[in-house]
Amino acid sequence: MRTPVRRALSLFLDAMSSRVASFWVIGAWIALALVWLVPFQLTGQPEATLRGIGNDWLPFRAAHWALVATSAVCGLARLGKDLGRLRLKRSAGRPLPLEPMDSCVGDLEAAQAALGRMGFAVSRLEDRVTGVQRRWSLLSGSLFHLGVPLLAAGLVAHAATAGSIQFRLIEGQSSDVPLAGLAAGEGDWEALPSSAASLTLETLEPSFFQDVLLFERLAATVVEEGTGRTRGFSLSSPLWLDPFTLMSVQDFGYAPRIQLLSPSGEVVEEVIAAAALFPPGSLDRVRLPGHGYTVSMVVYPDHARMGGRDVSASYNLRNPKVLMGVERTFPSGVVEGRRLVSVGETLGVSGMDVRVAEMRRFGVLRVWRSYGWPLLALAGVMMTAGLGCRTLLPARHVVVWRHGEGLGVLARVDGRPGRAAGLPLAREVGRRISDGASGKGAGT
Amino acid sequence: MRAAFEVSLAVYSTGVIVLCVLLLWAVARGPLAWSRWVCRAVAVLGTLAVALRWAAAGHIPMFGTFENTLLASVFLAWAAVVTSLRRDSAGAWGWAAPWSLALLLYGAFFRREPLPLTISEQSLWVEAHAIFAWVAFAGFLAATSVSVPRLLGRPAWGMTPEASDDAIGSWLNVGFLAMTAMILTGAWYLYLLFAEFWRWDVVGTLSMVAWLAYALVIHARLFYSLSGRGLAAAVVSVLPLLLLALWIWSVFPGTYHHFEITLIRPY
Repeated sequence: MRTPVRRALSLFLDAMSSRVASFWVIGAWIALALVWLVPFQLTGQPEATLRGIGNDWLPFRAAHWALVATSAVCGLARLGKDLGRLRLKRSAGRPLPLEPMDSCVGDLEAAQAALGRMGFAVSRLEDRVTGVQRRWSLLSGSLFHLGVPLLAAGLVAHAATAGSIQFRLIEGQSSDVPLAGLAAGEGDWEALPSSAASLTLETLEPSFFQDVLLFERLAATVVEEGTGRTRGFSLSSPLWLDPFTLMSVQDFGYAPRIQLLSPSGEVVEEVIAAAALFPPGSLDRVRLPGHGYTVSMVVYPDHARMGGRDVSASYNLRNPKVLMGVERTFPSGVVEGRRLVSVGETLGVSGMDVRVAEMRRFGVLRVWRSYGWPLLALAGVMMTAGLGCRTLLPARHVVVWRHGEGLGVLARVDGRPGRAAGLPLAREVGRRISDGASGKGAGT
Repeated sequence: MRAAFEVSLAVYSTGVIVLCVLLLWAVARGPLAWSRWVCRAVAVLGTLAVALRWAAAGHIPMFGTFENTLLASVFLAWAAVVTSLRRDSAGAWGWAAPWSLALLLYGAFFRREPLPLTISEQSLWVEAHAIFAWVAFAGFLAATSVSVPRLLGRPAWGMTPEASDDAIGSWLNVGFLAMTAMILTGAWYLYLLFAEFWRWDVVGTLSMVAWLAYALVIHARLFYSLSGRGLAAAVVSVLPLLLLALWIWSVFPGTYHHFEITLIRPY
């Protein structure tokens, strides 16, 4: 019984760790993506469908985990080898190269001195001198490959711990209220995390480019109630509430402060409501529940007259006017009034006056948290650093041995197989040895 | 500023056309020694055009197809300049010219007026993401350009076959490093914007596919000593994936990478 299990395990490890594994695993991932994902993306399938395929469909899951497994096994296998390669004198007992890339005059002492001057870690053996430069770069391949399973671990941690909530906060309003009171949007929390639960939205500044629907700015500031500290953030630059929780502003809208005034001018009822009045032309209604009035509004944030009609010349709140309608149903019938008014201007209905005293804004804020991001960031740094070292600062190896009347030189650059990469280095080393032997390069 | 940009763009485009003519000349009669100096001048002119566009628009030219074609073509010109610094690759200037011209022509079909960056693009992370993308593009196109003549049976621009393979491998490494950085910075910025690290968006998926395909080629070169025509064929075969990954957003609106914004007015 043990033998088949061992054999299966051995086969599995071979398939995972051999160089072949990466080919079929990567090939399978590519084939799956091209055949069973990209066509759905190109035909405009909803994001939830695509997520269902890419994240949850069994063949894709298998492909993701195979990719992670093969990277992990390769990374670990490489780590052992690379650590071994860090040791000098590893070439003891190995056969000497047959053909040098370059020949030079001198002896092994001159070679040792020249390589030392060039910054190589030198190892002197009976029949050769070996040198390696940027030895630490030998670990770059392992670093990159081990970054992949760490990335996967980070994604798993993120999926297990992530949470978010979207809610509306009007300028001047505090988040220190039950979430339901903030007209909560989508999200998977029932209450705000403590770091987000005592903030007051101080300002919200949306601005648009010229007269087109192109957001140039959507910045907000909040005041922390405990410390009184003001902190700014925007869509692209979220606010770190704590090391794992972020907040950003996703969208905005208008929140008119509507007042009902008695004939003597006294405010008898006031409502500030986050209304769906953006983009210009959108109609929304707000109720004044105390007196039974309903106020309908269309906001022209940058009012102008064009072609005999009221329009907004831009999306910016420069010259706001409101097409306001007010109605109330009495037992004797419906009273109503409708007029274009400026902010602060009143509209009289059945002896009472209604006005938009102020046009505030509300922000659609998102707070989210992930405990997986540090792992993901570390994985990203490992992968980039590994590849960066290998590409930009690869380890360089040189072997110098007695060859004919002089010395033979062979050089190799890590990650660049073939003679072409090592040839310029071999020539440089040969020249330095010759110069050193003839006394020209001494001290350089 | 905009007029200065238009003039510099015209001069730069003319330089690219001159390079293409020099390339045709080189194919027919052999290279002219001063061609690489023209390439260097063109790279400088392109950089000037990018700088003027930057000043006119207020941001790195990376918003919309027109600006990205300009930026990518200048990265290509500089990649050619860097390649031609190698003694055995002095003729490498030639490969960038047709690609740069094709990019400039493609970009000419799109809106050219400078627009400010929309809020979702106002981040150093996006700028890093875009710059890594065009470095990757330049690196992989350089590898492809060296591969094409290798595939046809003669190493490019007088290189030895081994030097040609080494140049392909080196540019693949550069492209792969930059594409890795592109994907990682993109994922991080996606988290800052949308609270998630990955979306199954067509651009992201195709980028991952192209990245993995290049990983395969690099593995084959490192572990199986893939070289010569085999290496060249492998590199050329990934090109369609690269082009799709890095440019599909300019014609396909169903992705959040699409920045050919329709200018909607409220009246």
